[in-house]
Amino acid sequence: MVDAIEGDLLELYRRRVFSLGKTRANLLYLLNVIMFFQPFALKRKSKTYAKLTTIDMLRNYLLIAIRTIKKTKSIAAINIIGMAIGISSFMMMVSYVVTELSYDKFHKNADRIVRLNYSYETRGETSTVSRVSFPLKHRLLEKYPEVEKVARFYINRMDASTLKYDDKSFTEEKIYFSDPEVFEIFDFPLAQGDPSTALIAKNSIVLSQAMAKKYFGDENPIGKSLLYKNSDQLQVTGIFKKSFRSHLDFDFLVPVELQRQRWKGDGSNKGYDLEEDWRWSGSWTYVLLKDAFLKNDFDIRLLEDGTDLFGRVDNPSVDFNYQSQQLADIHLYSNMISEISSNGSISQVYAFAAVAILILLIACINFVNLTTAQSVNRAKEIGLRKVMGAHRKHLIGQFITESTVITLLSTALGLLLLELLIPLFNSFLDQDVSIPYIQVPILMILIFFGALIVGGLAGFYPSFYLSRLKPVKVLKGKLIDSRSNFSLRKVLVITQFIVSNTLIIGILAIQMQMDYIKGKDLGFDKDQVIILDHGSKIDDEFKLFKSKLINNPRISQLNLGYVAGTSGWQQSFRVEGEAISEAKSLGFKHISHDFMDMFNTELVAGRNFSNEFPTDSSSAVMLNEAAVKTFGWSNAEALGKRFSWVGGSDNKTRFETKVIGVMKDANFESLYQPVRPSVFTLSNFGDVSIKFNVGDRKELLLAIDEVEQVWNELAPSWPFEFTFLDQQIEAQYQKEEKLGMMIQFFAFLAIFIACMGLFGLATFTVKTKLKEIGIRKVLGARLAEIVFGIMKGFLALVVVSFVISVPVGYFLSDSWLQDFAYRIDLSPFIFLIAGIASLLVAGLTILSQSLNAAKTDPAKTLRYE
Amino acid sequence: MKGKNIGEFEELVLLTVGILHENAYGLSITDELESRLKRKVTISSVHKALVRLEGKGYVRSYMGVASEVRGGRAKKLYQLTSTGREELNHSRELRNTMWEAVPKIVWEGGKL
Repeated sequence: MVDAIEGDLLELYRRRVFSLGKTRANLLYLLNVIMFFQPFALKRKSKTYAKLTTIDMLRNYLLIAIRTIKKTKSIAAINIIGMAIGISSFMMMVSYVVTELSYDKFHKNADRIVRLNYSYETRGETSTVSRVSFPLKHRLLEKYPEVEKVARFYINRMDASTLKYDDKSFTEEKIYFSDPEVFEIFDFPLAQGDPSTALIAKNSIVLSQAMAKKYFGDENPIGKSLLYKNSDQLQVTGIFKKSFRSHLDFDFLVPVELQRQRWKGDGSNKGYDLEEDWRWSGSWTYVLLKDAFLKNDFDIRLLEDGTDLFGRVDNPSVDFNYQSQQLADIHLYSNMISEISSNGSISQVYAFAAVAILILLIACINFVNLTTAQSVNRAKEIGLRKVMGAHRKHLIGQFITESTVITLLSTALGLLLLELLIPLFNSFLDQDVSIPYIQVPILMILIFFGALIVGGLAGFYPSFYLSRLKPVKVLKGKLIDSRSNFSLRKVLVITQFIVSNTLIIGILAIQMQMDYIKGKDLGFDKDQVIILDHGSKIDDEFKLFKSKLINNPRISQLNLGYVAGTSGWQQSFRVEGEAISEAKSLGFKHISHDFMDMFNTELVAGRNFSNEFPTDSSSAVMLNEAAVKTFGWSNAEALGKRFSWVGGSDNKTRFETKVIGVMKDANFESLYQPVRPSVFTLSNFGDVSIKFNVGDRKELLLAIDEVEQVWNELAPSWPFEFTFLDQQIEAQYQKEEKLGMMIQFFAFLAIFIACMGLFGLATFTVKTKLKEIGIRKVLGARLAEIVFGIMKGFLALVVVSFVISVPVGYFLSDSWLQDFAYRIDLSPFIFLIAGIASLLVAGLTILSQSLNAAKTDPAKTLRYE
Repeated sequence: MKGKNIGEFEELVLLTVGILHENAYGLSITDELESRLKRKVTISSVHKALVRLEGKGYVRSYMGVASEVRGGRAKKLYQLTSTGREELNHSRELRNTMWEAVPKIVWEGGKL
């Protein structure tokens, strides 16, 4: 501006000098200049001195925040890593929780869909079953006006469900039989095919896109045929996208009618019609109600009619109460007998949600601790800022900005960590969790704002604490009074250590229990045994099968019937001379002559089943010791006692069977329960199991190959598939083992973060105590005394938190152990180890800081006094 | 600088900025105005008008090259902005409509 005016005036002046002469030009120039003394020319240009707006302050805050992070790299790194771990674990847990909660919520009729269950009571015990009989569907549609549609599901697990196309043949686990209404009731999305007609034809099949790819490659699957169980050609009428989360976890859908026709025409039960069978509860039945609020009326009517429904059976021995269950509740709340697929559990969801919040809390605590601990370094800065006119709100803004920047960085790092964590988590817990960044773009915004909120919360306390410092004091060089506010940080550290101590106790308890269970003698041999998956295919030719293999030196025994270590049946038994109400519910196992020999169980009284007594197969039973105790006999008394089974579909009473022997108790089923009192009968059907006698794995594989050859001769059209018995038994405890590993993982994280917090605190305290240490050294204190003096305070915190965590840990571990019939006692040893471990970890964390402080030359710290 | 209204002198300066196109700066505008108006125009009032016009957004300025004649000082060159052009059009139209509103009789000598 000034330049431009001066330029104009000079140009004018020059012109005037030529035309008017120098004197007049000077005069006029002066006049012109004076005339420029007007407000517009004098006013300061407002742009260069703009008022400080919020944006400007924020920019400044950000700049300072980044400078601070650069300046204190190690503390910032600890902060960011701690937060990142916290955030990624939190997001991991949350996405698991969200996934679990999302099951079956995608059906638009979800609130109107219910599943039918029934329960019955026997001798004080209520059993609830998730399946009902097939013909119930028609009755519901006829007699219940509130019912709009009904769809049933059924899975046939009797033998290998093979599907074949060209030369591709697989055994499929997830073939569900269902009704054509399935696509009207549920919203399973069909990518190809017409949902209203897809399952109407008896020989139709609907499959997932992945399965279509598996069988047909890139060809169009619609209209192609798959061969089911080597006998039925099924035509593909629909392809669905398996993008939904449902407890109905099928890969294939085929009509119930197919199964019905198969049985009707089948040799052994020719003429059997499942639509007529009221006794067999084989169908998972889903009802679409006309309106959601009709559920109550429906339940009441079911309850009233329940016994009547089952009254179609002659001589019902118990009442059956029917009820309906909301579709969305099945995945998380339902744990009935014969669920269609293994469900999640709401308590696990709660536990994970709690852990998620806990981990985030620990990370925030850590942040608060570390930031307040830095106050020594920042005291002068704060003092100077205040002297320069910074208000308290500016300082608070400054610190909250810093914490927000750190949280944002941590979130970025945490999201990267999460990408590593998710596949681990999924393979670990057999889950299918993913974070739908692309499908739900708003998630990114949510994460961003979530990070801002966490940053604000974590920065809240430190900012108030730091902004309170008195400038006069800190600038004088007076250190911050270490006692004020120290208590809050103590509480924070104690909280962190309570959590980590409890987790350590949990790890130890789970570990010891699992070791105990794995090492426990089950009372039978489970090694080197395989169970054939489709053994029923050679039931008829078992003798031939056995004769071809029994002379093989690598095979020690073949058995047809109940396999030790698997679950058996339940049946009510009644002793001769006792009232029917005295009948006892016992385990019921069909075994062969070779059972005891193969699994190496012990006989304690009487004799085993024997070929010498042909009547054994119809009129002899064996008991185990537990069953003998249930009846209140001694082992010797039991022999010769007669009884029959009662209830169920066959209510006849025949006291034809007689006890011939007593078997020593063995844990055939699960260590969750005590040995089940059981009755053994002789039979010639069931699973085929083979026991090998081999030295190493190579030989075992060879032997299995030989079995496969014989299998292929006898049942060429059925796949040879098998399971190792010991693996199957171990699989029962997998849930516990995984839970243990998860807790271990999070315990380590929690301890790691807690130690970082402790480290920060130690740094802070040591700095405030440098002069004290100097004086002590001058007065002759030894190194060890000084180190101990510093550490004492911290270790006291750990001890306090330990004392609090003992009852918490005891309570939690004990309630977990209650699930097991065979469990360890929680010895004080566990708590002792946990205590020592956390003391040790905490001690090591602060040792280096204490040592450094103790080694400082007193001349340096006391120089200015 | 109240509102967006411009006075008569400001309007003339604005027009002159248009006339001079690429060469509109304080002194050239003063010269142009003097030659057209046939009266004295002080340079400070031109500058004042320019500052106001810039504040109202009708012109924008940029620094030109310095020259020997100007004692090494750069020229501050002015340019019409689109709102400046609009404003000129607008006042021209206003004038036109007002012209048209004057009854013919007034021009013809006003015989009553």
